[in-house]
Amino acid sequence: MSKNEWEVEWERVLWKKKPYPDNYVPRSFLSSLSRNPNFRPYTYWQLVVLSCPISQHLASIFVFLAVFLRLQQRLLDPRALVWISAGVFLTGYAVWEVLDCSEADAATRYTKRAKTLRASILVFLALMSLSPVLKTLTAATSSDSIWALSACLFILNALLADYTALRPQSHRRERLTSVLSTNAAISSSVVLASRLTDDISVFGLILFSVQSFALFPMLRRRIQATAMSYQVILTILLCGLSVALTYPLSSTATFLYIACFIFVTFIAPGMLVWAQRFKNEIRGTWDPAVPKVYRRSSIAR
Amino acid sequence: MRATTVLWPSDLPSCSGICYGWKRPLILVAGVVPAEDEEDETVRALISSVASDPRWRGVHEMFTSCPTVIGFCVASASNSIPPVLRIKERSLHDDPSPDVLRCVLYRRHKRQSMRFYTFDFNELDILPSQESNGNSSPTSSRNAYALLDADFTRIQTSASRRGASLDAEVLSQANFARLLSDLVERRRAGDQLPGSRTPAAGTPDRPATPSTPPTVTVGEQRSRRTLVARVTRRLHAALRDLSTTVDQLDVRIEQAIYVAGEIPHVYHDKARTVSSISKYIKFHNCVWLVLNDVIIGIAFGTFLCENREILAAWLEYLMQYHLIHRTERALLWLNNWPAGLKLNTELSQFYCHTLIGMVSVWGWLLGRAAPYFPALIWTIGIAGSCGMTMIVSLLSDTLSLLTAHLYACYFISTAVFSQQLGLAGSLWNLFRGKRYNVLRNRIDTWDYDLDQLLLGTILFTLLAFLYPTVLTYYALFATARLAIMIVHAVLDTATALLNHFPLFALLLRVKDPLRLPGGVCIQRSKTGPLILTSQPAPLSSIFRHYAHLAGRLTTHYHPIRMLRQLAAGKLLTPIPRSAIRYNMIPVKKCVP
Repeated sequence: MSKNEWEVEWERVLWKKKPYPDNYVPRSFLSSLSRNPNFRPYTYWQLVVLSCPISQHLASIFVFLAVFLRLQQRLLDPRALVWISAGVFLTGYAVWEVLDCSEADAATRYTKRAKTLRASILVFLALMSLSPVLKTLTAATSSDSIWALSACLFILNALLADYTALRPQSHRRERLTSVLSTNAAISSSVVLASRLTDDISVFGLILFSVQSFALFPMLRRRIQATAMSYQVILTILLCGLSVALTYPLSSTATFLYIACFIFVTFIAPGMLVWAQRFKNEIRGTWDPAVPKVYRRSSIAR
Repeated sequence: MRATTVLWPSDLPSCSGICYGWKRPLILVAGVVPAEDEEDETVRALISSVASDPRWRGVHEMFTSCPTVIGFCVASASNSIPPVLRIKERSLHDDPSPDVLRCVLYRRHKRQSMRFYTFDFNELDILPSQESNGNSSPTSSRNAYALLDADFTRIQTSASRRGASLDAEVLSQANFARLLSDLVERRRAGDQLPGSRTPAAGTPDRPATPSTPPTVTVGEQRSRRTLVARVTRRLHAALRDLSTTVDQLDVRIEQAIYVAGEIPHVYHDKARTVSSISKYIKFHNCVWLVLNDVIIGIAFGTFLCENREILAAWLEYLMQYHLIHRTERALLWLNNWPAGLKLNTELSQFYCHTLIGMVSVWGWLLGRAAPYFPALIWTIGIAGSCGMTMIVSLLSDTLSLLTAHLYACYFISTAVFSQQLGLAGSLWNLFRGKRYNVLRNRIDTWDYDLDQLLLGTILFTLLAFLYPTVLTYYALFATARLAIMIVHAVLDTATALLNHFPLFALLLRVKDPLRLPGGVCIQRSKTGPLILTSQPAPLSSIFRHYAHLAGRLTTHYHPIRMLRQLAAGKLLTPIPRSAIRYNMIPVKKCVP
């Protein structure tokens, strides 16, 4: 019997007596194997735009570090910092309101505004009363440990941060990792605040850190859901601000920051695109089925 | 040819006559009335008159059948071989042919000797009942029988249907055989007068509970003084938990009431049932324990009284150096970077100053009280005349009093530490987006507001950085408290040992094992016939409730358990007194 005849008679059964041996491999073996079936290749510029949130986050960290250094070297008046924080908060809230104007009900908007006002006053007063305590928390530790601890905490913050976009309709529940990243950033700012001399600078620094690591990420995620041009503008603004603030203090750091930004924005997407050639996902009829779930935006009747 | 088992008394002098006893479940001969012929009408009349005797009526309901005439026996040559017995059968269904008799000898114990047969040592209830469960019938076999009786699916076996086996009824027949034969002999000897009844004190007593102690007002539930009664009871319980001496006094009062109540029952009981024997043993155990206690207490108390000066000086040195001076030094050490650990300066200062203040105030107080230490030791020695347990309780209380400052510091540290742990737990829930639902007693997901999250974050940093300081101070005082707990454990064990040792039962076991039976067995004697012998109770069963008590003590004072409580920030307390306290008097559960 030739191979062609075997091929014709081949069936995927073992309980029938067949002319071919049991270990015969037909030509149609693994014909249902598909490689990379859901593969949508990344394009370079798309990835560059998608890497904007990371740059924004890193930029906010760098801005915070620059503010801390100025406070420590008494180049920045703490009261001014408090006013700046308040102003930035109001601006950010206005932007948020503009983006969130899909809420039709005036009453809901009023309640939300009242809640926000209450929350902000509460946090403000709490920070003001706790800042003498927060100043002394790590006062006894030596400066080297402080720098190391703070660096570790900021790295943790950058790693665990939530870089996804915030859809307006989706349920806004924070994930544990994003809460932990906020915690790490606030702890780092408390640790750094123990190097400062008077209470008002501590208050200013921690207020600024709460604003830039707890409130700003929310706004950033909201902007991410909008048009691409706003994201790019925001990224350029923030990176420019961080570089401008750092340049008078230390040029080494400035160059380091610029290198970091270039790496994150241009080189890393390139690497990712290059690495796609190694993507080898195998799927076949033997894998568990993936259900197709149709999401409806409104419930029918 | 069927073999019938006959239980024959081994102490019966050999004679010919009419035997009487029980036919069911096994043929048990209680005695022999000497007679020449087989005419048994007089014996029958004797037995029926005995049945109306007041002393017999009390034990009468233990048996399912009445004693009857069994048959005629012919004396044998020697005393050891049981005589030939001709059984008189009334029933027509039985085989009238003479059948082989298998004799098992048993001893008829005199009632005054308080020996008896039983299968199960637990029938003899010498263990005091536990205070927490107030039921008065703790034997497991009685519960098992009650359960079987209540089972309505069981076929009720009447006495006639029960097989002929050596069961509990046979043993109780053997126990009362002597009483029956004594009554028959007395009737035969001549006092047939119906008026000569033995006094009422001879009647075997029913298992009645003696009077309850006056502090437990079980009968006054519906009176107007219910509120006062309840308050008194609660105060009583609280005082007992607070001070070991009060508890010991309570135990003594209870023992005194029990002894006073039991004397008429114990000493005027003529016909000994198993319950009266157990009462006897319990009573004497109590009296012996108290007397031993008092003897040891007087000896130790004399020692304390005579050496009070030296002991007081040593005690004062111990207090001042170890409790005050070393604590202060430890606190100062913690304040100044202990072992290189950098604690939060402000919090550490605050802790240190407060606690040193408390400790030095206490040190000043102790210094003022130092001249009175000899008097204190003398008082403890005098209290030894009430018993060694009183000395041990007073020592335990004195220890608690002298280390009150350490307890106060420990209490404060524990409060702060447990607060911090609670805060950490709820913050963990906050970060995960979950909340504790009090209504459903579970953790639910919950959407927190932004300000709650922010405040939680700030509190978390505070907690994380202040935790090492709180932990160090807590660890110092927790270690001190652990050491004091170990001393308390030793003292509590000594008290429990002295209060509840089954001394009388042990010595009884040594002196006369037959009075503490734990089972029966049938042995073959050297000369030939089978003998029913009583086996003495094993030592493990005498110490059974003791193992229970030891289990309680080890569970409470187990090192792993104490360490786990320390890690969770719970307060370490000495064992509650009710857990190691056994009531002599069963407390009746009052039904509202």
